[in-house]
Amino acid sequence: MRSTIATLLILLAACETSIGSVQVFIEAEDTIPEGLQAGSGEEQVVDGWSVRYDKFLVVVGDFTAERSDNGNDILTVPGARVVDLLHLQAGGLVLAEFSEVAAVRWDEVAYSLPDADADTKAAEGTAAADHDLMVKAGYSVYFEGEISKPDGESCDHGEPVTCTPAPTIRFRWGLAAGTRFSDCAPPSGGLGFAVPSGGTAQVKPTVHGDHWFFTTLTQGAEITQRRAQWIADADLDRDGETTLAELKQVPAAVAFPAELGYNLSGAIIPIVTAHDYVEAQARTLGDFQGEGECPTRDPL
Amino acid sequence: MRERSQPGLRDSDRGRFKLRERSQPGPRDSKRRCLLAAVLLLACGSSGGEPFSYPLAAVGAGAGPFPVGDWQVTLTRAEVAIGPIYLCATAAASPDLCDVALGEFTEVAVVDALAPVAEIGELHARPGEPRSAMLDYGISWFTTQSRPEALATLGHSARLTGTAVRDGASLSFDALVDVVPPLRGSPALVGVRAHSEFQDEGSRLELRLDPRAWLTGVDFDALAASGLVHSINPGDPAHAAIAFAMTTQPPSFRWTHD
Repeated sequence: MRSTIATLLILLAACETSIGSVQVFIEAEDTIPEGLQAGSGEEQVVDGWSVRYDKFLVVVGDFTAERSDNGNDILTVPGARVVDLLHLQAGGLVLAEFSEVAAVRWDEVAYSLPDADADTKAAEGTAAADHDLMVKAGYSVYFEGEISKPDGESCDHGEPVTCTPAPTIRFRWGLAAGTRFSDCAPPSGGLGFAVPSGGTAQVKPTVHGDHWFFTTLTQGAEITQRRAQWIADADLDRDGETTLAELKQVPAAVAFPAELGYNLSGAIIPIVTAHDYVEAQARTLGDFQGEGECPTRDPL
Repeated sequence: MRERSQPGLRDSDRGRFKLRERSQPGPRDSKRRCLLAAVLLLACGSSGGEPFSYPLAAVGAGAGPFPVGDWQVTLTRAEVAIGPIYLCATAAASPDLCDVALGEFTEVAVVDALAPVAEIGELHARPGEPRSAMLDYGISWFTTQSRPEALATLGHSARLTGTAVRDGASLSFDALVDVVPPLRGSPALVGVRAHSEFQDEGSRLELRLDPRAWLTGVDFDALAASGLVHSINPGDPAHAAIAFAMTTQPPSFRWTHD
């Protein structure tokens, strides 16, 4: 009984006096500035392709942090902005800072990667032309780059299979795949983040750059392989660039066979074509505190 | 008895993501609110509620005809093996995120996916808010097994039989479909969207199956090029298309409550 009373007193005292600060950053996973290497190691592409991004733009908006024990307390960063993830300052883009925040766990964290519209602003470091590109097209994400492999080939799926040398394949893909990511949790476990008394919590919505190479729609730990051959094969006219129009012509069941370990259950949109696959993966890019997850994903 | 690294209904277990139990909002900086929070904290460890059961049914989509490219397809038979099914408290269901099931149907039922309604059985549950599901189509791969095993009398995940007609030409097909879990210990489908704000003894869960959608990826032109009568089996391109669609276009989950 004494310990119970002591616990209550401690909680009451803590409720009245403990405050801290919160800094919210937008962070890019290393795969965006550094690309991906061929190999069998962690975050490497197992079918021999390397990946380089030349541009990677996303729209980030409507960050919220709430407490399940107090529905009146909310930290919010309204509005949306185009963020150039290849030109972030070290440590990420500071989205907002909050002071005098209750030093407790904020266990309901969410943010959006929405489609750009006329109200979408450009974040610091984002070129006006890139902002215009996103707004005019209504994209939530745009990325361009290339996959390369010295002995790479583009292959059809006929009998017999016909292949054409293709050491480099370019891509320039923009998608309106607006999605809200909720129930964010760090990789260390728990939900949201904890504000230390008298200290600062650094909160980092993290955009990943490798999900369209995954053999699964990851949920929780990223237990998956990364493959890129499907992009080379989807270059149907063999001109060295795989377009979104070509992706719409490629049946997903052909491009992502179970024999290669693909299992695409759990997508929030039906996957019929390779284009659907890219969009479905684009709706999983929003992660948290590096490798943490925001497992509730709702289309916007 | 089979064992699998999958959910159970044990009270002592907790998944990575807790059940959402929101308290009512109160005035800011209120001592009373803190006191309530403290009491709630001290109450942790009490029972999460008594298990209960409610009916599980399948709702079919009808036979058709329906278009697939230039073809009009009519199903005459659509048997689907479904189960086991696990309901998870997290929106992203995977074995590592769904240690505790909020509901489970551990059997395998073979349902007529053309019938308006087919009762499957009872789903065993506990109070909570299901937000996703994991399931097998009658072929499971438990941790104690060296290879996947068909658990239903059907011997496969589905049998889809029908005809496809174009310009007077009629093609018949009989597909035996296997949807195999990709990994030992993992269900074939994870993270299936399945949300109900609550479930109780008065709930009923309907799984809406649409075998027509599973045939939209079949290249009937290619099939017709090699004959007008086809048995579709694992290894065939048409089988891959159907099995893929069964994975990416799963049953939809719909709850009703008394």
